[in-house]
Amino acid sequence: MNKPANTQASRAVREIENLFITLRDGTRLAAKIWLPEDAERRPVPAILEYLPYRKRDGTAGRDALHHPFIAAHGYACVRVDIRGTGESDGVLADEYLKLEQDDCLEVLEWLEQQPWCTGDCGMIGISWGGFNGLQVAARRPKQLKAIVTICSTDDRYADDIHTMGGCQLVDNVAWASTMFTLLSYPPDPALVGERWREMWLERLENEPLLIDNWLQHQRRDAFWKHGSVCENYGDITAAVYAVGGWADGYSNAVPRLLSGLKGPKKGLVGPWAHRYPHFAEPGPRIGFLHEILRWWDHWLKGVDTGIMQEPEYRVWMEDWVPPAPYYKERPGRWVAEPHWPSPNVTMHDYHLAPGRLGAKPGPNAELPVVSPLGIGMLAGHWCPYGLSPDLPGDQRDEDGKSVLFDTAPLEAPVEILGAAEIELDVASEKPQAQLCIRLNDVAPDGASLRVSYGLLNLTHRESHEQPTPLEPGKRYRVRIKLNDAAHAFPRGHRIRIAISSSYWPIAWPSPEMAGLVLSTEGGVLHLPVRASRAEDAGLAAFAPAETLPPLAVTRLGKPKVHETVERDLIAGKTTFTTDEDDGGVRHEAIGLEVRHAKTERFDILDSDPLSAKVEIVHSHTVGRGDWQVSTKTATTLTVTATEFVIHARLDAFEGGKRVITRNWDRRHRRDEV
Amino acid sequence: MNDAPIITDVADRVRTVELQWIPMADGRRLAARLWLPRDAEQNPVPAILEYIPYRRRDGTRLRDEETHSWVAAQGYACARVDITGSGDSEGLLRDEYVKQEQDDALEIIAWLASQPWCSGSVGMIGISWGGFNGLQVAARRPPALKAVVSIASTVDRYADDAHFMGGCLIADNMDWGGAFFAYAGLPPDPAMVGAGWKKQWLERLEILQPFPALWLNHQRRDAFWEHGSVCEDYAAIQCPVLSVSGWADGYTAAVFDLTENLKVPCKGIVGPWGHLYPHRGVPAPAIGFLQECVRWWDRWLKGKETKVESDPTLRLWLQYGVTPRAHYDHRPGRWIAVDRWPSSDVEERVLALNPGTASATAEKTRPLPLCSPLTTGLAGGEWCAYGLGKVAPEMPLDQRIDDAGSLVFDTEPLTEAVTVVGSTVATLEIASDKPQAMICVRVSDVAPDGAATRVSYGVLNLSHRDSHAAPAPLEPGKKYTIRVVLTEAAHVFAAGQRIRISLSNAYWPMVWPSPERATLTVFSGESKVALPVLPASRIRSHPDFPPVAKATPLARTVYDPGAETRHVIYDVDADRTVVRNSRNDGVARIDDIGTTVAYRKVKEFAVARNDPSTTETTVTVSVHYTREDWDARLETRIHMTCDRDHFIFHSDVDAYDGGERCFSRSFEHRVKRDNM
Repeated sequence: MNKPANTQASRAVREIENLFITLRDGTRLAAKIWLPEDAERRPVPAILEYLPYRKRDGTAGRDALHHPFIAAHGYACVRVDIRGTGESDGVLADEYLKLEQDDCLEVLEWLEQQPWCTGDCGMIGISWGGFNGLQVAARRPKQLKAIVTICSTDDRYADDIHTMGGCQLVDNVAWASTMFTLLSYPPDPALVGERWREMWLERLENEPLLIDNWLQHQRRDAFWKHGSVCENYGDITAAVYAVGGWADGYSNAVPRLLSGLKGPKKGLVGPWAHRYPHFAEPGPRIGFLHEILRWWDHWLKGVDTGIMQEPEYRVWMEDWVPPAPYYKERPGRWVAEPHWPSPNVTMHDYHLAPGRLGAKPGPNAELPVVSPLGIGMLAGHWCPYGLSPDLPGDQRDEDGKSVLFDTAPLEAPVEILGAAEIELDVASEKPQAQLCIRLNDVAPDGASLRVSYGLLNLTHRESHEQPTPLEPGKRYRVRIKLNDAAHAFPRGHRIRIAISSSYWPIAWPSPEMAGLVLSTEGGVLHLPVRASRAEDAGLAAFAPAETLPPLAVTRLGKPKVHETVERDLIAGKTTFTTDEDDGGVRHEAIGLEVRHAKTERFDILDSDPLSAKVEIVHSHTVGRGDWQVSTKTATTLTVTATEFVIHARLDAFEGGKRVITRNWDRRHRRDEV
Repeated sequence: MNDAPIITDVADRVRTVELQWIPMADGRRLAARLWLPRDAEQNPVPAILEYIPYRRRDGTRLRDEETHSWVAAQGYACARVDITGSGDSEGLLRDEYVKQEQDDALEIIAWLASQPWCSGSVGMIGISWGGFNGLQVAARRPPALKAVVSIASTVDRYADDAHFMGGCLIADNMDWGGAFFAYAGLPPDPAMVGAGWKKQWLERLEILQPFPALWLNHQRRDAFWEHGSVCEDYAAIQCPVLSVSGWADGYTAAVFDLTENLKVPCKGIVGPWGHLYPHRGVPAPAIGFLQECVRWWDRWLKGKETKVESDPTLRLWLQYGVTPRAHYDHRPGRWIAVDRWPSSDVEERVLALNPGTASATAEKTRPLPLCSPLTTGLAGGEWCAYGLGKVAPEMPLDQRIDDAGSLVFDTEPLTEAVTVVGSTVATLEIASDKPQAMICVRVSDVAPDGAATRVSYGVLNLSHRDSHAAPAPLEPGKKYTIRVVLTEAAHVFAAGQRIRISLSNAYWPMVWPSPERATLTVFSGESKVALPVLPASRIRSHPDFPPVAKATPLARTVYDPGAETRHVIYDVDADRTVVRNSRNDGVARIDDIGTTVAYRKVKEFAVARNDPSTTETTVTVSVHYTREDWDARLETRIHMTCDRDHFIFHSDVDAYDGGERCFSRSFEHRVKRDNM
């Protein structure tokens, strides 16, 4: 069934380190290309990966594991720096702008015209490159026949790093800070020559402060609808292979795309965090390059690899594992559904009663919820990378501060696939409040594993577009959808719902400590229970994970990633600190030395939501011999009862001498957040 | 009450002797500070002795002055004597409560009784060490000793001191032992002992040993701990004893033990306080304790009719519910009287532990597995709260933090208030999959919003289930009936609250973890707790004590007020939790003697959540004395780790004279774990 792609027919690969694609407005985009040496005689389809993360040094390591492999199988793999990044001209003003898509359409036209290209194109990408694959597909360029979109979203408001359930994610500013520094990097003079300084200064003088842009859009407005392909799935006609990982922040998009897309589609969710599945953790990794080769061969070469006869949705059904913030591998097994949504998954209802989740409704009880702030300190990251301990640890610590509803020990295993939902009645003392719902698997010894979670800013209970304050004391019925999951609760374990009124540092708390009262009457958890399918046992195995030899880089210092949670018992303050330094590497082939470090610090007092504070500092240096450039960015985001307050600073240095300093002091009204 | 007027113009009536040498038969001289009524030579008075190793000259000087000069003004000769080898006293201090210390006390008492200003009657008062040795010396029956006031002390050095609790090794063995390691290595003051101070200091350092390691040569209740434990023979004490403690203190049990067991007049007071004298007590209310002491002394040393015999046996601060907080300036409550102890008014109310609930009726038994993360206990607060600086967060935190790693049994919301006075006793049916394991039982007062305040707790090393003297490993899988006696409490659970019983098999950092991760099976239904309930109709109020009276404190010039910090740091990468408690007493000059004292102590506890072999404790202490012509500094550090079979210690001591190191020694100890 799982027919191998034409892996034998390896062709010698030529690597073009840099080539400029000139757009109609004169802007030059820098590309790196891997293609068969004989491609001019035997043209091949082109596969584009289109990112702002710098092909020259940023993604060079991972590109080397990937693109030459695909190229050797008869493709031209093209890695293009988005306008304003890497060696490309111009300035990048924001994420996923129409200009980015327009440029991409021109790149696809350019590819079609190349003598080595058959004219058929695919796009692949993870995260940003997964987003723009979908977005460009929705523009329907005729060259684009298929895409592979990994760890991406179809809904920039609901499932991206900015907001979750209408709550402002702390990652919104963390990610903005990462981009703040990334956009300040210079192009490499070895490729662009003396123009490098002019290009760099143009970037430095014009680069946006993204958090400033994003905090102007706290509700689901046109800003977020742009680039959200869920607005009209019908726009996409190219074949879509959507891939995600349960440990990642972006897995919800995969089943939603399968439900929404009208054209050919396929979904895969593994145990992985935010990384390509051939080198992701937690494992098991898969031979992802082989898998996508089958996809490309089918859609770009018309080879029958059998891939479209396979079940539409394949996922790693995760087993219980003792909770830990890092796993080399997650135990589980591959299961599949021929289509999604699947009639094989049905909603089972569990009713809320004080302390219990049961098959039948229980008596009503009014349960107060006022969680100490900082309850999410062991939540892991919103978007884990899986390389360091960034996954949720044992939830008991946080369960202790939450209102809990447990089933009796399960008499038989319960396997879920899909998104659990909870419905309950809640009243708040204050007009603004939020709820965090965690779904945990509790072992007989008490260890508690987070299976899924969901947040809701209660002002968004009816709509993300038109939030409205709560009327204090009034009882509202709310429905909260948790993240999709595939998990097998073992016999003897308990299913737990843990409810808290905050989840920092995942999300910014509401402006006042809001005492919430839950009414258990009518409260119900809908759990997507999957019946086992005998066909699962017959699923073809993925090829073993294979990558190419890594790029030659020399480590200049010891990399470190260090995360701590510190409780000051006198101040009642909790501080989450991440300290990262890659130690610096030298790219041997191009003689470039690059180093990046960052510190993130999130503070909060137990009972003062206005004490929440984020401070992030990044530093980046790049150099070769006499040419030494560094930039440093600092972002602080604090809150008042009515505003978000941003202080940001950018400093850039050439040869130790400061060439620019920019400061931002901005305030944005809190919009029902 | 006392008929004699309380004297408040203390300074005019009292003469202070800065240094009085008291000769011992073997030629050693012990240093004393005396407060004497100015007319004492004409009208001799009883003497009150406080006898501790905490340096009368520059250690307890401020407290001594407030206390002893005030008591002296009421017609007593107060003597504050440095134990041999401490402060300015000659000789060597080799350990706590050694026989030599008691022998010396007998000589001191005889010396005091024979002074021209002394009537021949002597009392002993003291808190902690000075409370212990008051009882120990009373048991030696020196003829002149007529009464004792023993505060925050113990009758059982194994069961209720800073080393073990329920046969578990507690953090205070390192905490207190680390501090004592420094105290015992401090120099005498050259202004008192002259040029020989340095030689005396080096002699002290020469015999100094890291006590925590030495004490672990005695992990079970052997003769080492029986010595100095007056519970071995209560009848040996034949003078009246006033026993005092606080609910926030680690030493409350002695009040109940003594009032129950002594045959001589014995009264007990337990206030809301930490490890402090009640007239300096925190949390408030502090009481007019010196007036109470004078009533006691007047009756037993002067024969006045102060009617202390008619006082209730126990006067207890009945505590009301509070939200859980690391520190309280004030604990709401009221004074109650209990006529006898044990009290026939207290009824046992049994709660069966059913899955998730605690109720009068037992449900069908079910095996409930229990394997707490090793960090369960982070909300446990200090075994002994010192109440220092009024900001030290020493009290148990919101128990939900620890309940997360525990089996929890809640009553329904109470329909009426429930008052408990005394010890809760848990009787558990339990099995373990490992030969060594412990259990912690907590009783909490749970508010409707979920906040849980600890009321009482107890721990038991399960290998000590039958005896602390002859521990025996568990047979894995075998079901045992074990009994855990919790700390005494006097607490009102208000109507609407729930009573929660929590069980965990870790209680770190207070208790050193068992050598292996054990999973216990607790059999619900069969397991139960018995609460000591005092029915509302039998609660007897007692009037408040008089307000605090004490003498004017000495002047200090504070250069650095210091700070107390407490942090819990979770290192996500290493899955390691560190509790770092730093006490910096700052830098201050005692103006009347010109000595500047700086003291700091850092204790650090670390463990990884699932690996007992990662347990570590480090206690570092620095003490620095400076005066124009004197600069002496001592730095000590004890680091303790373990493997499955051993406790491992590395200890260092460094002494500096004028900034130059004059002594340095390192110690390595490896002690076999004895069912611990």
